[in-house]
Amino acid sequence: MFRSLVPLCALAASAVSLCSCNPWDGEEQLGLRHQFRTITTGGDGYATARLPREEFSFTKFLLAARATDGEHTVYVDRVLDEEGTPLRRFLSDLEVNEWRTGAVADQALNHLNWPISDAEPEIRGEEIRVMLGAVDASRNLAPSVQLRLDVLQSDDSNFTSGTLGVNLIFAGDIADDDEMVDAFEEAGERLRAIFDPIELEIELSTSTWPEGTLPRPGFGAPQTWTDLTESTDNLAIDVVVVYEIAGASSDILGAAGSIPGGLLSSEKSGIILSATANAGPDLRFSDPEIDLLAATLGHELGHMVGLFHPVELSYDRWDALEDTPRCTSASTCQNLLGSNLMYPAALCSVNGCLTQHDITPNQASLIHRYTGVY
Amino acid sequence: MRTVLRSSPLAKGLLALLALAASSVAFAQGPSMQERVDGVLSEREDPGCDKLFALGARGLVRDALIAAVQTELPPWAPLRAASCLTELAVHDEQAWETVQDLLQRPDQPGFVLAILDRAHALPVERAELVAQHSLERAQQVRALQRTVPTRLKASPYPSVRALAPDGKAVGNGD
Repeated sequence: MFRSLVPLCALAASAVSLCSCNPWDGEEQLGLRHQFRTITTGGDGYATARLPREEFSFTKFLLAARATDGEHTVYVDRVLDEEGTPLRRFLSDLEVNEWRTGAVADQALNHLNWPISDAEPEIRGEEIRVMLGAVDASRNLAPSVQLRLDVLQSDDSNFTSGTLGVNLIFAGDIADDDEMVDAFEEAGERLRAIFDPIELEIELSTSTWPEGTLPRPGFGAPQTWTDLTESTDNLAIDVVVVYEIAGASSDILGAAGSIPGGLLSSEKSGIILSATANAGPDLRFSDPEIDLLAATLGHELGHMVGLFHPVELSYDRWDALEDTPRCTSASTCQNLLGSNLMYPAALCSVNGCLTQHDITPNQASLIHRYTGVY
Repeated sequence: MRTVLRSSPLAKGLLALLALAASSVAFAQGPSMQERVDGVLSEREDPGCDKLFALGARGLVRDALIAAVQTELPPWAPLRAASCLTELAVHDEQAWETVQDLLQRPDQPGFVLAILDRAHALPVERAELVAQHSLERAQQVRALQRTVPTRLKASPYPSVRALAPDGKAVGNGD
């Protein structure tokens, strides 16, 4: 009995191996290698994507995953080496109230950038595996769900300096509002100074889009968002500027599609910024307000490349980076982290606002590992 | 005698203790209601009015919000204060008076959007008044020309929705 099982297992293993022999299709996109395929979740609701070294550089890649039926959400449970040993189990971070990647939260379209930071172990074997779960509307893992995977990979191994493209897109009537356009372009210029210290050059371009009624990325108008991000055919983060974000509270400053955000065109691949919320009651930008706008733009870009707030303002959740202290009160957090780019509140007084441009070495390390940084 | 006391080690110790006690009292009291309200209003992600209302008695929060609409930085803080005052204006006359004042400030048309955003919480007569003021301002301010009609069309009140012009934009202001 025992002896007869062994060949069966071997047969099953070889069948799996045969099935995954050449499962990836590929093309060049945005100047990077884009590979894609579908996989299906097993009886336990999980599917494991295998990325062989012969086809993937392992230097850095951005995985996008979605259920093809549009009904299930997807999350990334863990990343494993070729032997199935977990390199990173993301739920472990949540158990200690830390966020390392937004990929651990189930979403209709999920993004994982790997490596996340310099804390990730080096891939030594011939394969890296990503284990994904499909979740149904009742929040249960769902079997037999087909997942579409898109992997954009980069061979750029320079993790200390690079360039990040930013497309500033004025959507709708605001494109004709010279005062607003000038303020955002000036904020874009000031953005360079924020990222200079970590040797990240911001390559800024501007364009327009006819439709100005846009919701937050991932919160509606999926086709419009997809078309808009398709229209900017370059390796850059799309930042859409509108007078007001549709379907959202008028005082929302802006929002990133996800943490990290996508680079291929999709309903979530971008940032939206509200001109009216950022300008304040007079709907005009003073010089200090343009400084704040630049910081807000930098903050949202930080989310897109994978940064979380170092602490949430409930003071009980943190990012998973080593050099952002785990503070637990307003006063301590303001002292330790208040000048950080990703601090979740502006700190202002009658004398002005604290400059929030600090980026820690671990944050810089993460930024340079984002696949969109070249 | 007084000079001696002031310079003596005992007096210095007493003064130090008094200073320490005073600072401890200040520490124990924590930030004022105004500081706490300003702090929540300064968050980058919309905290929602409930977070503000949970800070203390409604009257105290309202007073802090009325003061916060004068804030200059960050620019979104006065807008959020106006939004939350609109929610309070359902029953609170002081809040409603402030909302009406904000709607008519000639140099601060941005308050229109913040107030219109929460006008659905108001009784229909007040919501209609907000809508009429908003439409008047939208005639003059480019940023309001499309946003105001969009907000009006989303109102739960038919009489407010009826005020929205048929076209997408109103006015020809700049």
